[in-house]
Amino acid sequence: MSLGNSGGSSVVVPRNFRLLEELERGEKGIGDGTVSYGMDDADDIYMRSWTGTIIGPHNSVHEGRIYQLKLFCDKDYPDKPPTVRFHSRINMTCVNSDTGVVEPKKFSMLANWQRDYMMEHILTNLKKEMAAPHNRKLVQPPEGRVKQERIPALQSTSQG
Amino acid sequence: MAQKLLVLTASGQNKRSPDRNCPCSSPTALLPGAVCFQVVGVAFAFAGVTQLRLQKSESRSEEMANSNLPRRIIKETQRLLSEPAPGISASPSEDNMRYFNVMILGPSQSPYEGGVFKLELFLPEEYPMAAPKVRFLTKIYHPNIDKLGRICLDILKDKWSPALQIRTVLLSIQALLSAPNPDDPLSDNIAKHWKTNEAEAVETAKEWTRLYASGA
Repeated sequence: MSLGNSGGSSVVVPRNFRLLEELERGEKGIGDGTVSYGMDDADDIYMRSWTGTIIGPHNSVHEGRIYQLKLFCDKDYPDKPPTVRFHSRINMTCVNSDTGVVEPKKFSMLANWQRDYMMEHILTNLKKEMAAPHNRKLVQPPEGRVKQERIPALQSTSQG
Repeated sequence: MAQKLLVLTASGQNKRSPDRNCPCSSPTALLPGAVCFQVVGVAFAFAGVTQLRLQKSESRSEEMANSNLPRRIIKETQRLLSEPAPGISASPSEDNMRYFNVMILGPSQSPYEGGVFKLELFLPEEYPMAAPKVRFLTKIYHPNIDKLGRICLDILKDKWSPALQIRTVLLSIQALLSAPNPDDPLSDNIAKHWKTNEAEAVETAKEWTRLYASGA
């Protein structure tokens, strides 16, 4: 599956089978292992909540840090992007400093979402973004801080 | 040809799959003779009545038209709708003709008797060269089905053959409900339960059927 391939095949992989595929890819491990993800609740048949991990890229203030993120894939995923929120504290231009939410307006991959994008692409792009000139020197909060749970909506979406 | 392939599938069922995560075998040998016959019969019908059914499908294909849907899928779908297998229903979703809503009734004299099990099935782009993807949406206590409803069945993996069909896959899953195989588990805990105390495991399976598969 290629990134951003809009033409070609007319076969649409339904949400659940797409997420099962992503689950298997995640279990095998992605690339050099600096980004990874897994499902939060093994009992959730709709596979909504995921935890992603990014190891901060070299040559940036993030080097050596480990960031945890929460990704929430609602019923309309992958037609719509997941909600992405940093669980670890981070200072980054596309991240709301209060909530940790990655703001689609400031992170083009979410704003210009395409159906064949996957969670691994989000994590890989966020890692790239950490090393971008406008982010790589930003002063960071003390290491190891974790955000308070401020978005109950992300946890209590259990309907359907 | 179709028959040969099916025979091969049936005879190969005792070999363990090389797939580490799913060392599953098919319950084909445990199917009663009648069901086996039915399976072979379907393959013949498929090979023989091609012309006739194709013409039929063209007149009815308006609602089936789902950009370049292969004829084989259209034909299989029509047969599934017009001649459903006993205890099985499968209908394509409106916006994606490769995505089926499936119901399987728990086979009689199995712990799943009386249950209505919902599944989803997807025909990947490579179908029929690749197997359909299927999983249970209804919670089920079965050693070869995991928490996410994924099914350990060899014909869905390395024993897939293009001579098999959606119908044969669903019949095999129905047969798997009649013949849980704790020696090739997908859910280790459930398999352990099955092997150490089968009566109790069967009771749990019945209980889950009442709780989650009541069809309500």
